[in-house]
Amino acid sequence: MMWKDKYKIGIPLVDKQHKELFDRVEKFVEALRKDEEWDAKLPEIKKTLAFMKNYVVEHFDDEEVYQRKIGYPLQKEHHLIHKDFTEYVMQCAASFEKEGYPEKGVQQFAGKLLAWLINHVVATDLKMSEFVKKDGDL
Amino acid sequence: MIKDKLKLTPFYDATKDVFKSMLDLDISKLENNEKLNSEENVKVEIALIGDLSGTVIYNFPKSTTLNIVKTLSGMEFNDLDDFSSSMLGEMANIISGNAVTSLSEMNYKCDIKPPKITIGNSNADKDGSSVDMFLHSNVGEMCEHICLSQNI
Repeated sequence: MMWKDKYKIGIPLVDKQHKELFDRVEKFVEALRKDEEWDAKLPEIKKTLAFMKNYVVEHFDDEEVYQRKIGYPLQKEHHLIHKDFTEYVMQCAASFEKEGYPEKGVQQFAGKLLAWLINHVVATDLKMSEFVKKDGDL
Repeated sequence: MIKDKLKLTPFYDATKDVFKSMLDLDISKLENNEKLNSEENVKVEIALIGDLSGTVIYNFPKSTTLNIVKTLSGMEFNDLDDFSSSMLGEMANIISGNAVTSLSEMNYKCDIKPPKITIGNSNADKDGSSVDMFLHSNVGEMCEHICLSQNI
């Protein structure tokens, strides 16, 4: 299983959305690794990518609304990290659609996505959790 | 050419922190490792520009790469492929980004270029002007080949 309890940062809404993201990425990677022709995998890959595109934006927005609510001092830096990654996801999705979902590019995207997501949760989002704990809101 | 420990330490510290946070693993330094010269590997080259310029090449042998990918994805992989090499490319990118942040705190303003990732048997050339940092953890060995010049 891709999701690990150590990824919980102690903020229920954020943890729930993170778990959903990891579950979707897991399904995405499983679809990529199925022992069948690339064309047969494409419907599942397209479906998951369409979901990810929307859910990444929704999750980042929710997280930033929460950060503004609690007066998180690193909100601007966090927003820039979200913005950069959202642009990367959107650019990849657009180029995949244009180029017919090339296997090499989609596999590379999935590898980067997983490593980025894990690091973002265990490093960047954890700072937000530490701030909340210090501030006594958690 | 920089062999100053102070400027290389950020790369070691960043690797240590990223391995701890992402993989729950401690790392230690090794004198050398023959495996790195014989095994198929993922090589990630990251160029630095700014007050310090040059390249840092991360060499992950196949066994180390597959162990890292298994730990992070929860899935078994038998071969190096675009998915696994891209995961390692992003890890090296994260390590380099964190090292550059530490360098900026030491008043060296630098930036990194996107990683160049290759799968193969080649290693970084040893020309006496660079430093090889051999590292070990429970997922295996790796090497960071650091070749930087100071521009200020």
